[in-house]
Amino acid sequence: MKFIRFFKWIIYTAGFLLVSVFEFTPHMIPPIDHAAPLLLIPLLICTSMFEGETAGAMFGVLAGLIWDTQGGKVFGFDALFLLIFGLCAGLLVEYLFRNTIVSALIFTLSFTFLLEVLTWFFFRSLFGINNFVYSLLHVILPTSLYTLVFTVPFYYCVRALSGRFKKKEAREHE
Amino acid sequence: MQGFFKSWRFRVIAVIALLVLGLMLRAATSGGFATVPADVISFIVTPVERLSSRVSNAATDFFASFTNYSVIKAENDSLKKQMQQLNSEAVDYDKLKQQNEQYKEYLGIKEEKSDLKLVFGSVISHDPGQWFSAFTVDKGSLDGILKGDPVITPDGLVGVVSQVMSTSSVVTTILDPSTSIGALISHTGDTCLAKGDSELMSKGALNLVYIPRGSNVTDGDIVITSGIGGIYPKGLMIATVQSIGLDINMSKYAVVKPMTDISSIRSCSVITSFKGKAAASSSSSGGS
Repeated sequence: MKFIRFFKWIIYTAGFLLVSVFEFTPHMIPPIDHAAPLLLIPLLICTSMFEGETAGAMFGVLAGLIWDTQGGKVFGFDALFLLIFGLCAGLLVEYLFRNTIVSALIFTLSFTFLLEVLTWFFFRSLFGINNFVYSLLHVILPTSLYTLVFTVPFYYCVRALSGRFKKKEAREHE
Repeated sequence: MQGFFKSWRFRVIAVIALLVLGLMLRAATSGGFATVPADVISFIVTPVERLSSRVSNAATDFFASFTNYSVIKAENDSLKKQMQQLNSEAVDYDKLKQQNEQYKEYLGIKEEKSDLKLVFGSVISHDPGQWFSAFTVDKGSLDGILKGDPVITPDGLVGVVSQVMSTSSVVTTILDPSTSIGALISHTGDTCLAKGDSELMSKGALNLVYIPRGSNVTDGDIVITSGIGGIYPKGLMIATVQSIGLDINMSKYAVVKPMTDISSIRSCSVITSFKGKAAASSSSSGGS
């Protein structure tokens, strides 16, 4: 039982590492009108929906820390917000929404949009660059929509993986 | 839901969130030097990214060979070399043309370039979002790299090191809105400022601001580093002028295109030491 659970978290962690490497490697994902998808958000949302808010928060920190090593933001910024997103997605599915692909799409779009707006606010607006309309049309919306596309494959992959592990755990329990 | 907020799981998550917040504040005040978690994550991710980057580059080259790309590529490389040579010749020509003291000093660039200490690195990842123009190289503080070190390719300046970890470094490119570089228009000798712009960044261009009103700058002029401030060695090629305009203060500005296609950089060199660096590095960090 413990081994299966341990193995499950190893698989999820490896999945997050693999997807992050895929996201950061140059020329791996073709940009559409300069927009690049944020692959770790849909993966985090789907993981949180199937594995619960605690797992969502933990993988949010992991995904955020990986992101934070890559670019111009203050280290910890993404980790903090992805922790909150992972936690919220798990809680929303537990108390308010049904666990469906539509819920996953709504969460991914909302959280990506929110993160992009927060990034604009903290790293553009506060530095005196107040080009919100341009950023909305050329960065925030294209990135959110491109990211949304990846929710579908991630949702079904995580559902299959989670279902398989749950079956194994149930069998062990019996 | 109230049950969750009273549970031990929520308390653990709250403690982690506070730790991350503390980490963020520590990183914000550490001036680009990596915190321990940043170093640990980077230590794990860097080798995987290095391998992935190699696979990606190999795959790109493999598919390119199918589409008669190699012939075009060879021709393109040859033309690029010719262009580099012509650009260098143009800079030399301008230097010879100007006989004033400023240019006599400027003619010393070639001697000064022999003082550059370089660390060669491979680009292993690019910043995934569109807010920043940054990439990661597989060399870090263990190789002698420091925050603020300029980064170049054979074509010219591409950026500056903004975050240093043990085995990797984040390079903020010259396109990023946070970058400002003291610049010189080689044809006219006018000093100005090359500055990243959030709207031009996606088009792979940057702004040249504070050009004197009476400047004779024209399209195609080459922009080089002025060396003022000592953050960048002087004489490094930055960009070519694409278009010129007048701003609201009636001084000129120009949109310039970098010498290097920043989105396709695979390798670069970090300048860890150059003549005149020590005087400036202690007093500034960022643009010159």
